[in-house]
Amino acid sequence: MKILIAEDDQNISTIAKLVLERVGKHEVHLVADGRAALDTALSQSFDLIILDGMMPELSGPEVCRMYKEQKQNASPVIFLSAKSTPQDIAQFLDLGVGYIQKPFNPQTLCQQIETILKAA
Amino acid sequence: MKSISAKISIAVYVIAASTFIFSSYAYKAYQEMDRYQDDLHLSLYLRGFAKEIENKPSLKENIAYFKKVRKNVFPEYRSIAISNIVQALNANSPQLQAKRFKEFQESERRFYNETLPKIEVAKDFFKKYVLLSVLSPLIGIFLFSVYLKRSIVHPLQKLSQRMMDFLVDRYTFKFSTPENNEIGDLQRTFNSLAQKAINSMDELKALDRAKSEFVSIASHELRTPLTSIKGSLGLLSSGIVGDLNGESLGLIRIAEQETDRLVRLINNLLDLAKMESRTFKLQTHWHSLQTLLESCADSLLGLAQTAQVRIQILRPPEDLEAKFDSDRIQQVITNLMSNAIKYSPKGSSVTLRYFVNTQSALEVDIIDSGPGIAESDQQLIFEKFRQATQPESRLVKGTGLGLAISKALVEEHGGTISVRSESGKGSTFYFTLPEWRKLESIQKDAA
Repeated sequence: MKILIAEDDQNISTIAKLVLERVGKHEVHLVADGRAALDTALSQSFDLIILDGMMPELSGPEVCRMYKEQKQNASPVIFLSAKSTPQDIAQFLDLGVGYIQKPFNPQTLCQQIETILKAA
Repeated sequence: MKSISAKISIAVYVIAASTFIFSSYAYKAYQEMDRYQDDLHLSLYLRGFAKEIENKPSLKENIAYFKKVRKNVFPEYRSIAISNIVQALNANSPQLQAKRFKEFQESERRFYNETLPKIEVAKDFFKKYVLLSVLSPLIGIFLFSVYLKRSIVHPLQKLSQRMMDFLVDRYTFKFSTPENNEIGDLQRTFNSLAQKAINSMDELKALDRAKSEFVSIASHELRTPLTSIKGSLGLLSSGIVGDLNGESLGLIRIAEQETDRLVRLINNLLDLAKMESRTFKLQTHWHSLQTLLESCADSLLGLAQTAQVRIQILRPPEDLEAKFDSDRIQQVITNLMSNAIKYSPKGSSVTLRYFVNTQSALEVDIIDSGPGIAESDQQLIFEKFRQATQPESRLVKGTGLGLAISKALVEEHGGTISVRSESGKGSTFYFTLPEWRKLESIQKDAA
């Protein structure tokens, strides 16, 4: 799969990229803020977009909303966030196909993504 | 005049004055009536007396009597008639006397005819004023009670209703324009109190918001670095980035376990903060206890196997349902069970049972045969960061918040949580749920 990861914390994006590339054998593209995430997601096509909840420029939910408005046949979006209030989770599930709570378990990340995509 | 007490005084004075005036009129009418009747009596007596002495020789006493009476009779024509009799008697002329007596009888008859209607009029006045003096206080009191109801009782009832509303948290109202009297003062005072309470409520809400904001930010800030640490350790220990020697792997595993513990601690702290900030809402529904306990037992099967502890569930004769938030009560039971498993010796078993206790609440017991808890520690362990004795390190370490969270969750459901234990004799942790019903009866209802 070709996956776009938008994550402002470089350490987390490095680890996520490593896991998805080594374990899941996916092709991973990294961006570090919401604006870049939106631009990249609109200009290229991905099989999956993973968005951090809080990012500079645009937040994950904002990126997702604008992306879905502007792109036909939008790819599935999964949120990866440390936020865990019921309102936040409700918003993530409303906009995207799923939500992965930080800190995530690197061994099961690929599995988690597969489960979410199957359910969607 | 705006004050109610002034209005009450005026009403009392008006009622008293009207009663006094009307009754004094009635008294006057009665006196008049009485006087006219006396006059009539006198007149009839005089006529009788005149008839008696007409055909008899006139005595000096009779003449004197007529002279005396003459001064006390009204109107003038009567005293003239009497004077004429006196003259005729003195003149000693029987003819003149007969004429004068006849004239006298006529004048008295005329007087009688004139006075009778006057008595009737006085009687009517008397009746009218008696009636008025009785009716005026009655009407006055009736109007006064209507006024009291309208201006005191109703506003007081309204005020008390609004106070009740305030008690049940409906506090967005005001009296449009309080009247300028004692009740109005009361309403104004209540408005100020309500305003004050609402202000402090707003402050509390702002504090609550600040707190949940802090919790949300803190959780984000704590979880972000933990994500990198946990991710890195996970990658290292799973061998994805290359193999490690045994010792290094052991060290990485320790770091991983402690990271997991830190994550649990943060999650628990956040749970607790949420519960304390009252933003926490339970999603209560009816659930079968049997199903709940079975799924809790299933989720802890792995831990139980590692600890070599068996889990058994004792069913009551009839299945019971209770109203609770499934996720939250599952959290409580899982927490109590994992404690029980952690403290149980190898080869022993942890028993779950549920039943209706003597206080007719539904009770869930989690029974272990661990070291037990000294009586002095039994209350302490439900406080934050209190553990009676450190558990064996062979299993997952606790965060010291599990029982505090369980207590908060059970109390949020209106139940209680406690422990029965003796040192060396195992422990029974139990909690109650106030809302329950028998499963049988529900099936009957459905049928």
